[in-house]
Amino acid sequence: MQKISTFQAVSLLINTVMPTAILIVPAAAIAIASQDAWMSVLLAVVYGVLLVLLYGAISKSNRRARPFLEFVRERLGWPTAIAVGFILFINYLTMTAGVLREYINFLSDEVLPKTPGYILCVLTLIVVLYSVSHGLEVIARTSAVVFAVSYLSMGVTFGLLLSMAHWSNLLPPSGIDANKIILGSLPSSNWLSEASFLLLLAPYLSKAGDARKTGLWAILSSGALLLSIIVLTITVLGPDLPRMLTYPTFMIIGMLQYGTFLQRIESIFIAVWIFTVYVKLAVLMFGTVHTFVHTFRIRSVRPFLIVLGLIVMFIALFEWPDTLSSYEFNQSTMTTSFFFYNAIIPMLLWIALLFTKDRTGKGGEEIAKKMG
Amino acid sequence: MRKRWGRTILAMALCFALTGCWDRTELNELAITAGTAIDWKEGRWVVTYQVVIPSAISAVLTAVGGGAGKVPVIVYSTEGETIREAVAKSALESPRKLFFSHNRVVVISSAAALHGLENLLDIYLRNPDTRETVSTLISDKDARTILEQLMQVQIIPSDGIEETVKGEAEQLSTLPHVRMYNLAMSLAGPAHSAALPEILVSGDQGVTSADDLSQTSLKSKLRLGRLGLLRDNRMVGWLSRSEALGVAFISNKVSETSIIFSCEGDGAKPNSTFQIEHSKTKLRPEWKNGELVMHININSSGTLVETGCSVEDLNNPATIKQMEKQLRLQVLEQVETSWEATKKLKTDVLGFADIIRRKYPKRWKEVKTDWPNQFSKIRIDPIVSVRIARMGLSSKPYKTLLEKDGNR
Repeated sequence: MQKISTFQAVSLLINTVMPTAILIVPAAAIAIASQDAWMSVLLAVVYGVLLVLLYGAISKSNRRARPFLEFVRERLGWPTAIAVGFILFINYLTMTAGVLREYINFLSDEVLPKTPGYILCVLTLIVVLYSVSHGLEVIARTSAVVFAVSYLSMGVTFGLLLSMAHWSNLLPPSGIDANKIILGSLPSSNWLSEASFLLLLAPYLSKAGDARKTGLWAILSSGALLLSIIVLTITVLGPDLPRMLTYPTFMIIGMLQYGTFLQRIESIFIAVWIFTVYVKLAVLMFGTVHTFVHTFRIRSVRPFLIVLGLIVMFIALFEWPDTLSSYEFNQSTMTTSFFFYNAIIPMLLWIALLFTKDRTGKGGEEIAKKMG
Repeated sequence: MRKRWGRTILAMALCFALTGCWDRTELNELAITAGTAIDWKEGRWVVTYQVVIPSAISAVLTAVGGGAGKVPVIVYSTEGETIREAVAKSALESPRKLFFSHNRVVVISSAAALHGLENLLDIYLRNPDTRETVSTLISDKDARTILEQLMQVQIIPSDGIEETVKGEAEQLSTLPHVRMYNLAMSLAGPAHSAALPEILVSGDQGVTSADDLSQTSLKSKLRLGRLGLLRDNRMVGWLSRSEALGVAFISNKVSETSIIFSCEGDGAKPNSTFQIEHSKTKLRPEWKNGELVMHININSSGTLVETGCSVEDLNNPATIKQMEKQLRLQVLEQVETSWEATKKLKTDVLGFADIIRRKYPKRWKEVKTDWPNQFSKIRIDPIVSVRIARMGLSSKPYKTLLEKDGNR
């Protein structure tokens, strides 16, 4: 089995959460919680940390670092494994298609308005499927490089934006409305909960016990990034304007201007950001293929890779033919499905594992002894 | 081996497909707009474009002293029921597609501003081909005439307009440099008000041809004028330049400016100039007996750059104190007059709504529906302090030397 380092794993998780979070969370959170959106992010981070602790606990009982679904099969029997595998497969499949759709929407809105969506879709999928065919280790290595480049440039951009920030926009904190802050934390919580990929990722870690550490680092860094983006959006644009903008993050970067030589750098930012989207799509596509292969115990992966790619493409193209339908999908089903897939299912698994601990724990050791 | 060749050829072939897909733009198919003007005439939008002629610009740049033969830009207008319809109609008369990414200024006529700016702001926030960083100005007459005017030092007039308004905001601070996003932010803000600098053509005849340009003194030129105030996306009135400076003082937008004063006291003709180099204003709202009082605390410092005073020694603390007092009164007067003017127009471009929303969010909810009226009822309590930090290179007024000679 391929092995990846802790840093690569952290970068993978951050790249799973952040690319679309940058797009969607600021507008959504500020629309609900106004200038208090930063508190919503903090709340979401707490939720994210709890989830990661849960994923860490589940991964910890996978002592022999078996692939996640194999581990579930060994511990909870094949019917459970197939059920869980199928549910996760559906999740990753819709996620991949959904993210692909959002990405294409963004490209059409902001960069390439005339290029037909299916061309963008096909081109993106070719790259994504190519990287998935090489396995998680390749995606992880790419991710680490992309991570270094993209977040360094993001850091510089954010630093430059500080000069345009009006900190008083964050006031008044006295206008706190607990309901709004909780509601406003939903978008951030949803995106942070995508760290559930940790469950599939953990067995690949070269240091087996590092799952929890990896998750915590990823959640805290993603949370910090989200927080800085939201704070910058509010301090630069004020609490009123971002409500009506689709992509406020890119708007504030477009506003950046130093003299006559440094302006319109959002195109560079977008180019760098696109790298991270590719990593995200590769991770989700990997999740789709991985859960499919392990649920149905398939030996030869290649043909299914193409078929799954085609299914993702068709969902992305025809399920949400316009921006309105994908917006409605995000609004109506996002929170429920994220909560179901990333919180409820892992929680049930954890409880089930608690009750079956002794029996399979010993069994596992026996098998290990026999194999040894 | 054959497989590798196949891959290489495929990869190279793919490069042809990577040229921006359907969105590729050919430079020689674009009409690069440097400036846009928005007019409202007889119930229709009239949009004017100042399009750069690349060949003419390179001719101007290379033919030093060769005399101006070509104008660097052409100006034309289209009209429609909506702004974007007018822009789309440009296809009827232009061989090239209008390209707005290098647009430097948008000039809005007061008629268009009276009609309302919501559509214009919507366009700027909705479309990726427009940039929100364009400088926005307002003109009392036809906005088109502003774009027709040529400039001497700057080849592309719109460039010149942007540089002028930028420089003015930094060096004189009477009129602010407003970018489209600033306008959108202040109109969407709690006060729903904004201010725009006026641009006008001073002189009757416009300088619109290369022949007009080939003189040392032009018949007319572009100049910044008053401050136009907007509320609820509509124009409400003008402030004079000196009233505008008061607005800049209250809303903490003074970066540098000069103040003239007289050290002889009230009523005397001003004979000295003080350059303000730093200025900071703090606003503090307070409810006193049901009345809203706005404490305005202005702290400025700078250099004495010119004086015609008959004082013995500028190193004497009493002299400087007296000068500082005069300056203080001067700034105070500016603040008072601009407050009266904005109060009359019931347009809060001073940032009062913002600070009240922050400090008293609950009270704000009560007053926000009727803000223009509530705003005009506010009592202001300005406290100004001016510090003469430096006096330049001479410690005595030049005038005193002559006076001494006269005594001998």
